[in-house]
Amino acid sequence: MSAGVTFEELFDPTFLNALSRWNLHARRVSGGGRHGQRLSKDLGAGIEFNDHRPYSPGDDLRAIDWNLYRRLGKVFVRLFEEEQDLPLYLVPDVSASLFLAQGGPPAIIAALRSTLAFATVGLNHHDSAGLFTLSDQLEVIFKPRAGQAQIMTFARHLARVAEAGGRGQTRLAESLQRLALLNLRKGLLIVISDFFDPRGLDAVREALQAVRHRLVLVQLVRASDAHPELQGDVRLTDCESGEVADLTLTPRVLERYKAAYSAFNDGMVEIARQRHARLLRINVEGDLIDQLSRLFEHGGFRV
Amino acid sequence: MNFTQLPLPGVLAGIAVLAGVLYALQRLRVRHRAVTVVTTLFWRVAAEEAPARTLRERFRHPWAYLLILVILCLLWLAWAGPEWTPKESGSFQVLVLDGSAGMAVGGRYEEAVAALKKQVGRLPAGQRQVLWSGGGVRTLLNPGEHALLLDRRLGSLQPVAAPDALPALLRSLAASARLGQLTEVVVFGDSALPPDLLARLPAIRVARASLSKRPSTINSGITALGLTDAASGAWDRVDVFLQVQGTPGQPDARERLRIDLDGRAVTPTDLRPFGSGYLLSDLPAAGGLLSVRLEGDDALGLDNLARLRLPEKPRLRVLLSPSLTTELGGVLTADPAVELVTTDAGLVVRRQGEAIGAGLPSLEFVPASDSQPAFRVLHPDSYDSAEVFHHAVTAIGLREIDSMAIAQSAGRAVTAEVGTAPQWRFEVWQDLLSEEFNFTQSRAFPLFIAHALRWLGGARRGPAYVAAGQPLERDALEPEDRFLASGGRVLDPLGAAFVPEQAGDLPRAGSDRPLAVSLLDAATTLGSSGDVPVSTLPASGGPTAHPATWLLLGALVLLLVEWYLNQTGRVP
Repeated sequence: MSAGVTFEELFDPTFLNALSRWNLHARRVSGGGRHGQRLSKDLGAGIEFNDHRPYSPGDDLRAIDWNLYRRLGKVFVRLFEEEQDLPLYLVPDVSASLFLAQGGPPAIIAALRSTLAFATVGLNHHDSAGLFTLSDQLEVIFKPRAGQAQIMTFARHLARVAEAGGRGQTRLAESLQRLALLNLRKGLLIVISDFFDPRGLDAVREALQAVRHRLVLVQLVRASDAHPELQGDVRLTDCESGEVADLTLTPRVLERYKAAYSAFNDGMVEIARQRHARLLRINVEGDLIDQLSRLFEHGGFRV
Repeated sequence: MNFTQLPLPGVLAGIAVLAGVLYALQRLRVRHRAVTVVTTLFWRVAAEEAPARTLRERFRHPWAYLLILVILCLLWLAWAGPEWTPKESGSFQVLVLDGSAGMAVGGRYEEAVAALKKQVGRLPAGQRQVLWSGGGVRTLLNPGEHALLLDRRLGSLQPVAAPDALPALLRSLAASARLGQLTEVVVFGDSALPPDLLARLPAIRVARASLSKRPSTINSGITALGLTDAASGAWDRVDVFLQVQGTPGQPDARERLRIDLDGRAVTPTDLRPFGSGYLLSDLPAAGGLLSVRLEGDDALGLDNLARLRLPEKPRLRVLLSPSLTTELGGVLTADPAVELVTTDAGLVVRRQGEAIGAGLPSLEFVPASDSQPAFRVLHPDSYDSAEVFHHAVTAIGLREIDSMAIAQSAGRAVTAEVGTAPQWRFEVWQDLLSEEFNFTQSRAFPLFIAHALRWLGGARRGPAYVAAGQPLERDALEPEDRFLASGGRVLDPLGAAFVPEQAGDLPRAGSDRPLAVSLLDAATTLGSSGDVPVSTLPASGGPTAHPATWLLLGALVLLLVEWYLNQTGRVP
């Protein structure tokens, strides 16, 4: 199954121009990374003074605070806040459900555009960004890289993903467990998916438990998910599992469907709250630039 | 209620079949529409309490089933053609539509037709018969026939130029009524219903359909047109009498009359007042067609035209035997109808045994022997002797002869016989010509000879008048006269008194000159036929709207209800 979109359609100039205006505000990043613009938990050779500590052999002599030594007669070294990068781990869902067009654009377009938006914001601020795809299992497209030059590389990889088409099911647990095994530096994990794991919310909850990164969940939604325009006797086929369900759609059945979908969304909110994660909902049928602008502008997106 | 398309068991069987088929369909698995969705996760949850129907699933949605069944039953019943069954009256209704000339006034006929259709819709098909009375009786609907046929059969029927014939129809209906069963006759029109006639017909009960009051109209028409021999005595001429009647206040009829004979106008100045009408004198009796038209607008046009075929009376070319010149020469010379000739004669007067005029119709004087009757009529084999004899006796006037005096003079009985011969012949005792009988000196003698010659010569005055609804003068017609209907069928083949039913041309067998029939009915012209009060039509026994209409409306309402329930999800 292919989305049937080209690189130019996926990332048109208007969209790429809009990306440069956006910003991402992150709390202090974990240490151990490369130099960047985010305050890290490491103290080192930064600009901002943070604290003193007694000198110990091996310390850089340039860090000794001689003024303090003159007053106190003891040797202390000055400690500075170190600025490091924020690694972004972008995990778009490329399962078959993202490629299914139901009277509108397939969700994969919004998913890939959102992925590139996050990557661009990060790379523009000297963060590193890595790309992984999510379906039956996690696939590492490339590990975090830094530099604005990587933006187009990112875009080309995403376009190839779109051309490759959908494959497999949304299996969050297996995919995120494999991500954990990669022993990546703590960063910001951004999962972009409809989260329609065949096993339901329990699978989502279980999958996210293994994640030790800060978490952003981008839920792709469409109006027909909440209000399906179906009636009568239908044979529903799951585009991922091929599972078939024969139904006589009465208003009562539709009400029950809506209740189930609403419960799913409430569950997503609850999971995000438990995991201290940000949950963003992107309407795949709406204007993506508008939706992302509201997210990243006016003080930026804080994680 | 009964049904026109199917008997009641058939209707009930149809409902049972519908219920069965619907029940089977209700239990059959439906054909699902295939839809691919991003996930069936939520649908599975929703379907836990509402699984899809499967083949021979349990019977579900009984109310939906009942609703569909009722809708189909209503449609089925509408197709079956239900009819209201009126309250049982125990009588059979004969509905008579008056199509006589009087109904051509204004919109009377259309009003009567509308009332008739309404009444037909009220009655069950088996309890009514619809007849048309106008220029004869015609059946429009037999018992049991569907009312829809009435429209087609009425078709382009319009009132005809014929007098009201309802009394005769009522007598016929009364005669054919079943013993002990009351026949109710409902008249739709202005036909006369004389109370004394109705009183004599206990087997039928007559009512008149309620129509609006007959409007008072201004009308005049020709009510008489007849002829007689010319008062001038000219054999080949006739006098014609005509009469115009109408409502008071009309202009002088003479100024409105247009008369022509074979297309040539007859000047009104030739009209002479005579009694209650006018007289046209000395018109040529040459078989022409006399047309009289009353011009001007009035309520009824059918009575403004009358026509009469004048007789054809050529002079008789008679060959007289020289042996009879003394006895008959003077009489024949004085007869304006006779022209004595020596050649090209049409008939001959001779004594028995003379060879003169062989092969011609003959007035023959024979010796009075024991075997010879006083008068003997001989005719060709192809004619009926009784008919010929009756006609001859009347035409020649044998009844008027003083046979007693002749018998006394002859000393023997005076008889008349009929027989056959190759040619027409009238034999008379030649002794009657002798002075001994004094017959030749009587005033009856010229008349007897004249009548005998006219009979032999086939001269007929023809009917004095020909009016629709009036029997023709039988004696004025030729024995071989036969009238033909439009399809060539012979009317009254048994020779009964012939009554022309309506005005128009009446073809005659073997003649290219049809008989002209006129309306000539004063009652129609003066519009007095409908003034006799009778009871009006009894109240209807059922609603006027057709039951199928209600059934279809009910089905439509239920379809709307089903649509609404479907849209609101209360039925699948």
